[in-house]
Amino acid sequence: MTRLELIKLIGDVLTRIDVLRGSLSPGEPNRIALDGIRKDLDASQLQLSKNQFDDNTQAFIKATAELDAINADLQETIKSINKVAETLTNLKRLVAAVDGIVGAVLPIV
Amino acid sequence: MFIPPLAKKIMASLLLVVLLFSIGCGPAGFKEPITKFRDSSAVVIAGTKIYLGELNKVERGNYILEKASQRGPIKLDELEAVQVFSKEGLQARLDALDQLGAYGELLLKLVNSDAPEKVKAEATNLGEAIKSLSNTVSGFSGADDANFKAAVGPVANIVGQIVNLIVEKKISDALTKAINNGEEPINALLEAIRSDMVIAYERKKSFFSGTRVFLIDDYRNALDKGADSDKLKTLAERIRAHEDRWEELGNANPSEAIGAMKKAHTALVKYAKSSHKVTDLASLVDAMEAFAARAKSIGQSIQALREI
Repeated sequence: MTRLELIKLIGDVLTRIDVLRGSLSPGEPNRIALDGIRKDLDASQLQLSKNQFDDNTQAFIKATAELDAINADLQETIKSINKVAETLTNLKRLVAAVDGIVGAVLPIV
Repeated sequence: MFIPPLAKKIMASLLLVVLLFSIGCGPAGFKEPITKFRDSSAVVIAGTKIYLGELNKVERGNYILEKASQRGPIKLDELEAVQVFSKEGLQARLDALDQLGAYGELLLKLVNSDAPEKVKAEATNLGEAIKSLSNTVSGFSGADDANFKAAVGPVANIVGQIVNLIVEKKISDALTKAINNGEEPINALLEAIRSDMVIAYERKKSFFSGTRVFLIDDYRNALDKGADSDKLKTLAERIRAHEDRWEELGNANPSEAIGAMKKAHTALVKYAKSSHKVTDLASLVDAMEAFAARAKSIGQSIQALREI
């Protein structure tokens, strides 16, 4: 996965999160959790957009391979409003993985 | 579709190459695919400029929307911090597109048999503009400019050399250099701009997607507060209009158009270097048809987005 592919992956997840958010009332606990996750992922996408780096390093390749696996799990649940709890679990894993990548490639941020 | 005058100055730098080789010796019919490339490139450039120009606007919108959703304060320092490119970086990219267009225009004039003397002043001006852009970009130190900066240098170098040859009235040498040395650096610059466009598109997608929820929330809140039917209709109309834009956005990805332009450029150079057999021309025609169709479709969607 390249930097641009990572940015696109996050973008696709953001749009799916928004579909879920738009189906829940703003005060609901799941909605509040999704709002927080959306904010984190959007900030990470912005950081990755603003900073260019070498995406051919072993560390980046390994980290994004793990992200691919998490994303595959996420895709199993995110399209269903009835699986919000599982989706939230997978999203938290995804956010942690993305944070790890951002921290590794952009240590100053 | 309306195309800004500047964008009409096509990146014929790319196709010039072909013209040179084709004039007088190419098979009849080569003009049509070349014209297609020129027109389609103009559409791609116009769309690219719209996206580049709106990139920071999108980030500002995203920030303001988020703060409004959270009922949080809006701060100017935070507003400036979210923008992807500096004002200088953004301007340099727009300048690069303009200068590639001017370069192509200049070469086209030569190919169309304008007297070299007539274009000498134009070539001199372009040479100075390219030098100025190169100097500006060499001073960039931001991580967001690294790829663009790396791509501008080689283009400035080769275009500078070609412009000098034109000024010295060594037209044949200028054209030969354009054909033999122009493809790689110009495609590298297109790739750098394509990468910027991927980001611009994804950030716009995130903004549009977030806006969908913002509008739905607005409607829901008004409903909960017992708003009258006129108010609800107004809010519903905003949702409808934005959903139309959201749908159109899926077809308006400028990075795909630039990718198609790169492929078309490579096909042109391949043809320029070929022995101009009928099969070579057929390949060129196919490549230009595919490019034209893609550019037209994406260009229409980008324009439609502005009109909805």
